[in-house]
Amino acid sequence: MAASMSSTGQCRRRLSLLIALSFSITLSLSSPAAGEPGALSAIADGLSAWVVSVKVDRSKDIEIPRSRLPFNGRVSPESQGYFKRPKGSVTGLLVDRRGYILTSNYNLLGTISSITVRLPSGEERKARVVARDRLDDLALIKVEGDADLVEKKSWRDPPWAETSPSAAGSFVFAIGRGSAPGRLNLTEGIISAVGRNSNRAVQTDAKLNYGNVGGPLVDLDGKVVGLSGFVGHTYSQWGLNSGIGFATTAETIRMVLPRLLAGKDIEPPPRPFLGIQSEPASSGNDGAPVVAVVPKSSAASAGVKSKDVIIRFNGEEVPNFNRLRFLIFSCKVGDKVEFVVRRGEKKMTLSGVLGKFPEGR
Amino acid sequence: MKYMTRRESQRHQRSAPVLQASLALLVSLSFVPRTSAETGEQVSALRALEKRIKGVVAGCKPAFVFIKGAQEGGGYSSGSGFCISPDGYVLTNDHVIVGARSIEAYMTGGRYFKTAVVGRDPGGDVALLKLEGDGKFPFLKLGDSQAVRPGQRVLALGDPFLTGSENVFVRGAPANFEPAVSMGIVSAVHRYSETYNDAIQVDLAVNRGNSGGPLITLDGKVVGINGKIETRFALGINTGVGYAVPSNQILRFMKHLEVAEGGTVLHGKIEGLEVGERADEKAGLPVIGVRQGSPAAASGFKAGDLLERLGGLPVRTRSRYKGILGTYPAGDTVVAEVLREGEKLTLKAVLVAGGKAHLGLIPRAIESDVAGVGVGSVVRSSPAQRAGIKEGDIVTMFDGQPITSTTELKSVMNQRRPGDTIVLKLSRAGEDLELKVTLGGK
Amino acid sequence: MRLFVSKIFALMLILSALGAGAGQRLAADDHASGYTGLYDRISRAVVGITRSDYPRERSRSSITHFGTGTLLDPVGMVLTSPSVVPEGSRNIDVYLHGGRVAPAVLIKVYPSKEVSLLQLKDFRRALPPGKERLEYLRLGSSADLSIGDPLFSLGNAFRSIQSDDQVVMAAGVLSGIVELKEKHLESIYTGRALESTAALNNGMDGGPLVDARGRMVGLLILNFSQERWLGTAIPIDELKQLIEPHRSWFDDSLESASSLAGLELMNSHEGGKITVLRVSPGGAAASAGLRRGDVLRKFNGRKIESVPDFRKVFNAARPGEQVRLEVGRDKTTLSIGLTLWGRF
Repeated sequence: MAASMSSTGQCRRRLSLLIALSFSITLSLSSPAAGEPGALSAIADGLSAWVVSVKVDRSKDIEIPRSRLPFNGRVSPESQGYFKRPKGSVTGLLVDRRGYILTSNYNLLGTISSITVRLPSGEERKARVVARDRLDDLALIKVEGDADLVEKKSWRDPPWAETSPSAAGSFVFAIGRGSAPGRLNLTEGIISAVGRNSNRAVQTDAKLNYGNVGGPLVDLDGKVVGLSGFVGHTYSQWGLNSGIGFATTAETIRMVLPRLLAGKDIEPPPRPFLGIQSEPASSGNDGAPVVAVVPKSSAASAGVKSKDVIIRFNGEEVPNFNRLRFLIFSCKVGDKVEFVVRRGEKKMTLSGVLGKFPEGR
Repeated sequence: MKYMTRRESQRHQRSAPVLQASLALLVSLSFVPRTSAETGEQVSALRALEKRIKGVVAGCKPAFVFIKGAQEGGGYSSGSGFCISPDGYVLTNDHVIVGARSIEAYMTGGRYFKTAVVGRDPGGDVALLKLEGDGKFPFLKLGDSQAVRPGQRVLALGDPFLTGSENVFVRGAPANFEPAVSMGIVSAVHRYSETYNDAIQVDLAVNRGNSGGPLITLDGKVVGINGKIETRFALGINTGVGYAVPSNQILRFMKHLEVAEGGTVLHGKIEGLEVGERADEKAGLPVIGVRQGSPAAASGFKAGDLLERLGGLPVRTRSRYKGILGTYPAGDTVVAEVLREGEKLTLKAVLVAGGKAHLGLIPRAIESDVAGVGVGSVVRSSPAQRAGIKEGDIVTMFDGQPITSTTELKSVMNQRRPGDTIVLKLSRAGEDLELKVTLGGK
Repeated sequence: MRLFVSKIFALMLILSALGAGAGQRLAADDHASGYTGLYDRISRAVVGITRSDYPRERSRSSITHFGTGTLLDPVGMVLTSPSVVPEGSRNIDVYLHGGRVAPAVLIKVYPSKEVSLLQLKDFRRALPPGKERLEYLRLGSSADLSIGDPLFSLGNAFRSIQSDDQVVMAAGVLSGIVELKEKHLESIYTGRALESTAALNNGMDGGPLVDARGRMVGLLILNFSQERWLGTAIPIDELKQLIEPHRSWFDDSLESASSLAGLELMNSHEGGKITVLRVSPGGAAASAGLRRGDVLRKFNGRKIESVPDFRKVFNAARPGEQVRLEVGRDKTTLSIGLTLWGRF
């Protein structure tokens, strides 16, 4: 088919031009435009205003007890290096317009010589520790200098989730910010389990690596489900990036933040105590049999008697003592509790106020 | 000079507007902002997926079992398992319960159940247990592992690092007995190793404590038992390579496990068949040797045959040959398709227990008038232990044949096959006794 | 004629709209099956590679390293990294889908960018039955990635390809863009790198990091460190200018988008010969008498030494132009006049 010029050639050329032009537009349509953000990138960007990079310099770091290390620390010298804290920056979340930042307490262990925060704007500020919550692996720091960080825009609180996740399986994303140039990073996963740390934390398989610990764990709605933490070997043997990670829930943070902002550490609350002795779980599933009642305890005041079997506690089924201990532990000292016991043929509802777990037990 | 005919020029008038309209449309389309539409589509797809995952998790969690094997000398070996029938049969990895003198089982929420070992398959790293209960246990169904493909989404339920069955936050505080879910994809199938002959490889997070737990598809079916991982720098944590025992292998062993009465089920092999390492370009793994009088010979194999399919699956390497056979118990029949001088033949091979016969006792010289082999110790869960042989016993006869030295014992053992039942005569504290022993495989 | 053209045009419009949609739909896949479609489409383009420093024996004990590579064209160019195939390597074996093993030669190594380029000695030995060309991966754009984009790592994890004929795939997302400042383990690459949550393991070095559309966006390297525990990949954009000059395939056959001659060429990398792989029947090259196996020596009097060379002069030629080729056939040299088709 040789190309030949005729009087229709001119029209043909115009036609060819049109088709060439439209063809190229067609091609550009079917390939993505450069730099188009995806859905997850948009979620990360949505948190950008609150996610900061934190650089901690320390003169001495904590010692990890061998018993908490994989294989009790008996690995090759090269592998030993992986038990030491990496040198890079970590992440924190701005929670207050005055420059208060929440992060993982693990990030702030050791003898600290200085803390430098890189704000989303790129500005770097020094910071100091304000208060710690060891139970939830949280620590609050504050940038030094001007009290009010927010200049022209109005401050908004981080988009905390209103309730804690109720079931496993939903998507969550761990967001962090690196040191200069301060790019955001993101790892993906699901909620692995809820109710951890006595209903104060959730478990996730999103990779928590050194740089994103202390940052927000976010859901598909862009809400902050929790703050990632608990990777320090003081708590675990599992190490970073194993697919086992935890985040203290927004609900728990809401509870402890006012106290932290006031500069007060959160001590683990006193352990609640009902006051019964029971048989180990392996004796059956008909309830928690009361072997003995501790004198002057909450159980005693409530009228529990030996040989009673506790079958419900605060509306929840009690198959055995394991479960009862867990339910009690999820309450606080001073909580009013209601429980159902089976006494012989009868069922009775009793109530009491939880006391404090005695020292030395 | 050529002029258009009237018809041609009419056609030209009509097509020009079409062209212009299409062009205009095309140009305008290129300006439509696509960002929000795309990300919106992505988010709603993720939401739909999330809903599906939550549904599968909620449906499967009640059937999950936390397994703790109480070990001699204190301590527990912990792992996961799952219920597979309403009357309480539970599957787990053999290595979770090996050596346990008793087993505790807890379901989600902490309900405790007494558990017995029904059957063990150490070669395949599978064990079948049974919970004592009211016969109304929630359970999971086993799916078809052959239908599993790389790229497919999968979930795992487990108790990694005891995060569910212990409180890893406050020492001594109670746990909430919630298993952990992790998600990922199937990375590869039919992965061969000495211990896992036909494994499904997955990239989801499984760690110590996940062993014995279910590998579940988004249809809610169990396609494997998670049991093994690779780790980096000996740090003992997952790096994205996990292996699962495939469900089709487990299904083949079930009928044997159910009647094993706590004993071991052995894997099968085609006794007397030797195959080459790889098939060359032409299909078929070459049969390089068939031992005279062996079960392979009896099944009709001949040297020079090209093995094309085994158990219905294509086979091109020796490791795949071993891999397919590794999913069959001794006593089963496997169908082999071979090519012989251009002709296709179907052969049926009855599998016999592979490996050497194994007793499980460690001899020791014992001062005594009685001639025989002294028992220094008995290997836990071995055939010797199950038969009741004890430390200090002296083995005097093996199936009626007097035994006076370890050399003699070794020699009679070499003539035996895994699965054989023998009668041992022992001297214990001056008294004679006879014990029946079913030999294991090693 | 014009009605015909506008019909084609409307069809193109519809197809492109579908294509635009499909490009995105790849990321939002069918839930139960996950990424099985993606795996089926691209896994055959990923190969296992072994090298042996000892005289060639096919026995496994002589293998000194194993890793992964990616086919970049249908005639056997393979991208891998020097941790798998370093400078001076001989006895390089490439393991393809279906258990096929084919030897390869090392074309070029760029150590600081962790690039090794190989060419299969005879790609026809590696073809699956019934196929004439190998499956390969197209290069994507690492600059277009944003965090959270789905990414996939593929390769010979723990010898999966050599031993079990299984290309391992792991799924994740782009976790971040990082700056590597020092060497880690065997890797000497410094500069911008992609960190992703797609699992990276022993044997996957040299392999591809792929986006949701199946295009290679990174080269996997095993450079784990405490901070970069997940491992990183070199962005493909850093490597394109290293790869392009060595391209060994030129496709202007009738199946390609804008054919002018109906001709397919390859550089076998043996003696630098550019040979004609295929002449499309009915095409301009066929009419001019070019034949498969002809060695291309000159184009319009200019000596041709590489495929990119040829591509440059060919693309500069005007549609409808008559060009003169000097080819070697059997033991003679021929001069062939070829009239290129007109473009639209």
